[in-house]
Amino acid sequence: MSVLLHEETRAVVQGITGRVGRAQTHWMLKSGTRLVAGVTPGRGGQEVEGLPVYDRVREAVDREKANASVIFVPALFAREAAFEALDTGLRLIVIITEHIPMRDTMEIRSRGRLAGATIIGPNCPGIFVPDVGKLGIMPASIFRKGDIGLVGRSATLSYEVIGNLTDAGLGQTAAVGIGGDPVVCTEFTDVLQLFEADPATQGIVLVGEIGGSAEERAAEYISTMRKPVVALIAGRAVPPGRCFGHAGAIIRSGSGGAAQKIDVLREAGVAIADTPAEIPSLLKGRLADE
Amino acid sequence: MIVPEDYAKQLLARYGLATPPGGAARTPDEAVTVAETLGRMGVVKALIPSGGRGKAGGVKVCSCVDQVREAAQLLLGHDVLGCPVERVLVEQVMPVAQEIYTCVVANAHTGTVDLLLSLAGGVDIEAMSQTDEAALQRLVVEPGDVLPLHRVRRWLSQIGVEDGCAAELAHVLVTLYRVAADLDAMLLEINPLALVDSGSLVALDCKLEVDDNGLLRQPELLRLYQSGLGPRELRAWELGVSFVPLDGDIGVITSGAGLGMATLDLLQRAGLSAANFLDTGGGISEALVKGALELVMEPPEVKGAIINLYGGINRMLEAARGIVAALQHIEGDRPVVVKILGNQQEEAWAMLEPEPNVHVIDVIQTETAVARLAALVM
Repeated sequence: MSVLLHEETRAVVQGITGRVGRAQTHWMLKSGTRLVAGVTPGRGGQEVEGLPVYDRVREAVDREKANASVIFVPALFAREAAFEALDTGLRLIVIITEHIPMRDTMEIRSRGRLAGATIIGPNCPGIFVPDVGKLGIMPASIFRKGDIGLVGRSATLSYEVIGNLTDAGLGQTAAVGIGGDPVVCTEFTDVLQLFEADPATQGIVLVGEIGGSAEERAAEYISTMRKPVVALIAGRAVPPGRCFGHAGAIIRSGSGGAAQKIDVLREAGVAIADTPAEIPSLLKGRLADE
Repeated sequence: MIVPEDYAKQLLARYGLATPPGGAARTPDEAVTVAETLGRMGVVKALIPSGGRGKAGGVKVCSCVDQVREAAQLLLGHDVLGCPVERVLVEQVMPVAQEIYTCVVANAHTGTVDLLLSLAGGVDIEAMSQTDEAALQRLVVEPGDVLPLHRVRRWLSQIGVEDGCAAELAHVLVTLYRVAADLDAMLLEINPLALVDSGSLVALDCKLEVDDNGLLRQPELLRLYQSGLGPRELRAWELGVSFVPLDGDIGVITSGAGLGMATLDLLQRAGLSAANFLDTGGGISEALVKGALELVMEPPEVKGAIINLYGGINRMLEAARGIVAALQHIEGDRPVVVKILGNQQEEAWAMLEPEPNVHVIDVIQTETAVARLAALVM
């Protein structure tokens, strides 16, 4: 069974009638994703891309047997949308929305953990599994089915890395974007554990960046892993104390810098790429050593 | 966003917390006017968004009005810790019996809201927390939970605070927790919270950092934030892009912060230096790309630019239209290397092809775009 998203996944799109939700529903269906319904409060009875729209997640679960959700609602409605999905019993929730206040994300994360749910995001591109589909916004054209797993904080930088892998003949089992905010609901380590346990995945690419300590925590787990990991850390050229778009990517009082992250990852046995284009050859080298 | 101390203290006062009498001033004359209203002579503090101000000479204690004028003259118009001082805060000196450190922090590492307390107080809390961890007490609250007074009182009793000020301290801590929650604070630090001779607790300092994403539901703080922006930052805010000016001479526009940082890294490896960071975010449109390119190319010292966009849903033809529109009135023959991929990429390339200063890169490797730009500008 593939990582996170598989043939049994029946997803509901929360915020399906918005501009982004509507467009992304089209692309998710085109990638073969099994979407079963949309939800927008007050818009029940409409149809989007051939999918029924309901007022509540409960109806999508009862009538369409939805068991997962992908959320595109505006930032200030995201906490409520995630709570609704959780309280209805969904245990895989992907939050694409950006600019969610951090305290809302903390509440979502806390409630999700209590419920034992997997929540990906927020401010992330979601999950892509070649030949199965996607919950999120990753472009299908860059992927090819293969045996590499990718986990990244940044969306578009991850796309560039995936494109490099595909160009070099290294296809993918799955890509998971965990999001660029200081607090995310699923961490590098959670996804690395899934790839380590996934029989189809042979090697893993981690796309990290400055700020926070997620890479350092990942390194602790990587030192116990069997499968090879190659990493890219963005932000070596960023001066300390500056916030560059990703609110999470800020170096504070000496911690969270690129050099420290690279040292800790190297120590854990990770091959560090200096540029995105170096990743395929480093990965091929590691796979050949196995 | 870091909220200026005088404004943060006004917010505390609305919740009934005590702060020293005083006010902000933009000139030495204004500082004297404020000082003349104070019962006891005062302290003059540089209003800058940075900690460690006291040790850097940004806080002056004065015993008469002439000294207040002198202190204001010393601080206003000068730099403290690299920040220009445009305003000072003039406050009454309080008779301090004990200094307490306290802080409410949204802890990104653990995902909890932490209340920190040290009865030792003082300026060097960071050094102290490393050498004597036990001195810094921590109450961890699950996000979204209310913090009832009885829980704080029990906690204070557990950590041995049971003397005269315990009841008032509990009340102050619960109030600070509520202020932090109401304002989407990442950090609300009172250092020191002073126990004064009268037995009451007064916030002598206040460091308030608010989540920028929280500004969406904080209209008053949003206005304050916008009023503090420079003209270029304000334009960026109105465009909806994340913009940071830097010291180099290469303009940078990227879709996504990670791709932006990776682009900066590659420029540096190639011996080039970015004039800015600009992340378009997810909502690329013709108007946004046009405005962004105009903003980035505005300084005449910018000798070229790299545009690195990946459009999942965003139609790249719109981005190309924005580039062409901006270049119609951008001065000088400065090269713009454009790597745009995604929806409608072929149409976008075809539209950009006739532009004399545009160099289209049609592969996914940013290295290729940076190498092209380096060859053009070096």
